[in-house]
Amino acid sequence: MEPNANKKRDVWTAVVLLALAGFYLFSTFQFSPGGSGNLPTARTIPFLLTGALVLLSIALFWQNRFQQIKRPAALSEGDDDEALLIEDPSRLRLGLFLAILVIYALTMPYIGFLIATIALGVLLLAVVFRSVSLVNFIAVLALTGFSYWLFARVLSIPLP
Amino acid sequence: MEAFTGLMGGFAVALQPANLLAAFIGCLIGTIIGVLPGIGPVSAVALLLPLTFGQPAVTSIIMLAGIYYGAMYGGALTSILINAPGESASVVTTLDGYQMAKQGRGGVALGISAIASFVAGTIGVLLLMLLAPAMADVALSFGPAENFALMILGLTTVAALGSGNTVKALISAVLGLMLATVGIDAVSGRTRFTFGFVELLGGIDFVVVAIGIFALGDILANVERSREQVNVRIDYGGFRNLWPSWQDIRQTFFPMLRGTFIGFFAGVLPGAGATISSFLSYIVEKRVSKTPERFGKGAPEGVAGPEAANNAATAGAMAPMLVLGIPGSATTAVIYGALLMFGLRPGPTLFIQNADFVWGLFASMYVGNVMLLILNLPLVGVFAQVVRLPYPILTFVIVLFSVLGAFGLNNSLFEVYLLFIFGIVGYVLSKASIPAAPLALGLVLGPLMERAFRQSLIASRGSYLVFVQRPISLGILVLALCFMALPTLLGLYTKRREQRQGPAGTAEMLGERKG
Repeated sequence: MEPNANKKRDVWTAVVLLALAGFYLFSTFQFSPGGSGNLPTARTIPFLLTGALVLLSIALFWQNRFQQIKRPAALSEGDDDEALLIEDPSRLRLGLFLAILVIYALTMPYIGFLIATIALGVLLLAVVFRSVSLVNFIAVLALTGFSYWLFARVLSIPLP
Repeated sequence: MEAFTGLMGGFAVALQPANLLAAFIGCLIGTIIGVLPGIGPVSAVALLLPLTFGQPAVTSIIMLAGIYYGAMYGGALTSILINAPGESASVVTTLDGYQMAKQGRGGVALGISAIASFVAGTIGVLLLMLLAPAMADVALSFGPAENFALMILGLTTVAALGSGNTVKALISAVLGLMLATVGIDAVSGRTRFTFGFVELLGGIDFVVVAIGIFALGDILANVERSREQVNVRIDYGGFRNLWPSWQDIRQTFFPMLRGTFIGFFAGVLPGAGATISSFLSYIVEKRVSKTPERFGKGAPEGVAGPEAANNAATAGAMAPMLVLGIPGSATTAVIYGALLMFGLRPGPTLFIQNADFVWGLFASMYVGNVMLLILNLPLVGVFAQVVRLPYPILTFVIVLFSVLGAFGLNNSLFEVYLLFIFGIVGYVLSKASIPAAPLALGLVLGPLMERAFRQSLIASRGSYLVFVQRPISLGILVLALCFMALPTLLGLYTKRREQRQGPAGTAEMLGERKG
């Protein structure tokens, strides 16, 4: 990514974090502090954390406002798999994926785990990955059945 | 003698059939997960945590520990065979491992990697066994001020050493600490940040956050990119070619030992962990070698040292988590969360109150290392095929297990909704290049930190000087400050060095990555 895009993104991150700090502070005033005298109350740590987040957000903003040379980012988790990927950014695919997840979570209590999960698998294959095949469909069925057996029968978790 | 007696008792626990099976399953799943790109040990441990529900604590932790160190070996496999590290600690293994594979010595590289992992894992556990009780004795004398300072040290070192941008890592830690304030305040009984949701009274479950930001967050980031399966040729030359020659063993013996010690002590240091230790070991091997020009062109020492280091680091990382109650990495934070879930409180008293558990875990790590060696050499071909698993199916499996894991915590869909929210949080963090590990640590350490902080202030009648008046607490806080300043100082040093020698001088140390 371009250094300027990185800077812009960091500035926006700092702004969002400042807004988050404001919201957290506002919420801190919504509960009673408890305690007495100069001893710490239920609000003490939230106040300190708000202060820390504000300072760090300003530091992030400052880094991008004045820093001339950006150090290369260190290796982090998730950066390790580039060798197997072919990049093709697509927000639409992500949006569809999230929408399917939300529909899955909302419908599961009504149609049950098994049907909802098979539908999730088929939708993911068909809409998000466009890789519907008999083998993949059988894999979805088998994995759903196995997970139901494992969680509902073996681990006795009452699935919807 | 005490350690020997404890270890014998530990073997009695670890060799029980259920625990042996747990270690076997953990090592097997860990290796498979390590092979798969895009899903690291932390996601694996978080995702598979629900499978341990209903099992005794020791059996569950043995399985989770098996996943942790199994993943370390699995990562090396694809690094060597197809130049695609399964997780970040194996990136450095590609430098010489893949070159060896290209020269038709992939099997030997895998053999060296397996032996190095076994040697390092075994010595690492031995060091852990000797060091941990001594550390626990010292930690028993700590009061709340020292404990608070230790947790500050843990968070700052993770932030300073574990990521490229200290400010962003500290932001992540603060966000984790903020999440930890949700729920009923343990001291005053006041309800905080629940926004009317009864489900939040007990706080936000760490497991949901861990699965969300690591497993689901990674999946969201990968879904945005088109992940097409790449057809790779996997050739290691068969089982017979896995055994290194005597010359290879002579060449790699000391690198393995050096890597073990580097890895173990880097693992003990919160934040440093397996990735840094493997790079450190590579740099050391290149420095001490009489023929450094061979590195990057298929030198067996370049595989042995880093592989030993990243495996020893897993044993080292257990020390601060078990002894001080401070997880030094995201994976140990998840294991820490699991311990709390099973009613075990990591810290010096764990060695007194749950000695059977601790020694059982240590002994199981020996057993696990033997299992890994037995599993990995004959099954290398099978593991190598795992990389061909269709990505849509892998995504479906991860989503499925994430949902089941979150639901199974309280048998409630509220956790599933939270899971999706934290999945998006994980995705946003990765987009903003904010590391997620400090957030996980902040969430785990938050309640303990707040309790220690308030206990210290109550004892000192509200004086904040309590943290600097006690010498141990002051020393630890100074150390934390030093760690925070370290990246800035190193940055300045590198900048000056580059100004004097040019940027090539710094890059030279790791060697060019070819092929």
